Amino acid sequence: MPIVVNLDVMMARRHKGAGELAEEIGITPANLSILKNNKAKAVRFSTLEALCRALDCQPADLLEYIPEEH
Amino acid sequence: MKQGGWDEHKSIVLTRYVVALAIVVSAGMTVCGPWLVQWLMATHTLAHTGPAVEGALLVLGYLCAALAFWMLFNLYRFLRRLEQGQVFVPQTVQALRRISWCCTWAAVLCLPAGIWIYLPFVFLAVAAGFMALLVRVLKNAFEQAVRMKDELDYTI
Repeated sequence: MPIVVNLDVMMARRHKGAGELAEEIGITPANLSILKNNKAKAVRFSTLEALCRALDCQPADLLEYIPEEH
Repeated sequence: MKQGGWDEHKSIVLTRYVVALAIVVSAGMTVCGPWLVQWLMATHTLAHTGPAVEGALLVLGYLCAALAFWMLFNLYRFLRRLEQGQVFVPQTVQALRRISWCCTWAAVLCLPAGIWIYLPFVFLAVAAGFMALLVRVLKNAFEQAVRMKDELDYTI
């Protein structure tokens, strides 16, 4: 997947733990782990909005496009 | 959905018992194979007769029995998974694929027997072929459903 979720980077910058963030945005730690480990196939706008609010950042800080090498 | 004490679970259990009964009947028919062939040859008008035809019918019967057992076993496991709530899983698609191939091979086996030995086998071959087609369509639908469920499960 050429879209990379840089959630762990932002979490480290904001000094937020996975459990704390999961509780704050209202998703399960298992789902947060899927997101963090780039296993997610899609992200809801509502989840993205909650993440941006909790981490005080922009969607571009969380998502990055890296073209695949062919 | 409940309808007067009858629910989905009971319906699946009933289907599973019917499949188990079909396995027992198939086993009985397999054991009685030589007698069934003799009965067929004695009571029906076949295009060819003789020990070679009798042997061919017996081999055909055992091959169809093997396919039937494999198909019913897969059907039984499919129903067990349905009971456990595992509907849109890759194993279901695999089971349907196997069932479809069993029907296809049954059609392939029965068609020449129908043409050369006993015409009603052609109708059996057509029925098996049609069943293979239906199960294959169902398999394609389940394949799409599994893909969609996978996508939904990984939408956060």
